[in-house]
Amino acid sequence: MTALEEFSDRLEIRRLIVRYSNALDARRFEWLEELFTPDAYIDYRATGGVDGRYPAIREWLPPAVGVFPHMCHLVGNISITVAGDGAQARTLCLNPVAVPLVAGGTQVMFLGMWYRDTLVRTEAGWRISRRVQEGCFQHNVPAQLQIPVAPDF
Amino acid sequence: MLSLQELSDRLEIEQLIVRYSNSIDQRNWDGLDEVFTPDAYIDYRQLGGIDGRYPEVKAWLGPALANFPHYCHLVGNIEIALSGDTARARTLCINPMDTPLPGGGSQVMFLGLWYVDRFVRTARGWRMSERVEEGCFQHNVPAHLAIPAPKTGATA
Repeated sequence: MTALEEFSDRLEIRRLIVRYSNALDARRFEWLEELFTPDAYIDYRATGGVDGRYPAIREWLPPAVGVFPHMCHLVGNISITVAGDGAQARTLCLNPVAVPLVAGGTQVMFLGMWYRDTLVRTEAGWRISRRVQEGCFQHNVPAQLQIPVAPDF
Repeated sequence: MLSLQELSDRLEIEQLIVRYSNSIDQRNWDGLDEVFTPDAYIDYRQLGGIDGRYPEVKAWLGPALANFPHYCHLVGNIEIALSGDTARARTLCINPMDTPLPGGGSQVMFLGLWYVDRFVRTARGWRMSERVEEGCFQHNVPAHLAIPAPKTGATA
């Protein structure tokens, strides 16, 4: 049987991953402070973003996603491996984004990606110390956007 | 470490949220009796529905959804805040709806929304006492349907 401590760790890590989506989708970027370690490495290059340490990413995010009037980051398939005070997780994200078109109106594109995370147990609880996006499918992306195509499997 | 009680509460509330989707998708309206308190407040107005107390909304659901031959309500990103015998939750829902077209055939539209819920612990377990829908994206909505455009940007 799985021990209570492992249930607890897994649930707290799942909450972190969900909280990240809610922080972005509700545009409450200040919530990110409690999700990442101060020096976490984040890599959004697979979907056309930047990579860097948390403070730089925290500055980059609000204007970068501010252009999209609606978006959500549905996460699932959360696979977690806990080893003492460290953990690895792989999460699938289905990400519809409403994109304003140059000619007017909006178009909803659908991006599929995985998050490959490294987590660490701190005195304040679990935190993400590394998050790397891995691209999957792209559907209905407006021609005006430049999103790298994921490498073939 | 989370207590067994908290783990149990969270699991029961998640199951309630999933049970709502399954009851709606199986058109098992009576199944909703196990989800909501008898006087729960429900607000579907942001996606073109009604608001009111549970008995009124339950009676409205069957005829309203009979127009759609296929649909499902996939929920995720369930974030729960527990406070003793009450709780709040925010849940994302991706909702594909197969919509008959006036000229024949059908078209699948995709709606994104959040459920903003309140829960209360009763003698029979957790129940939902309030559910308010908050709109997100809309994709492939047939022109003849009147769904209010979602507000720009999400609110916490």
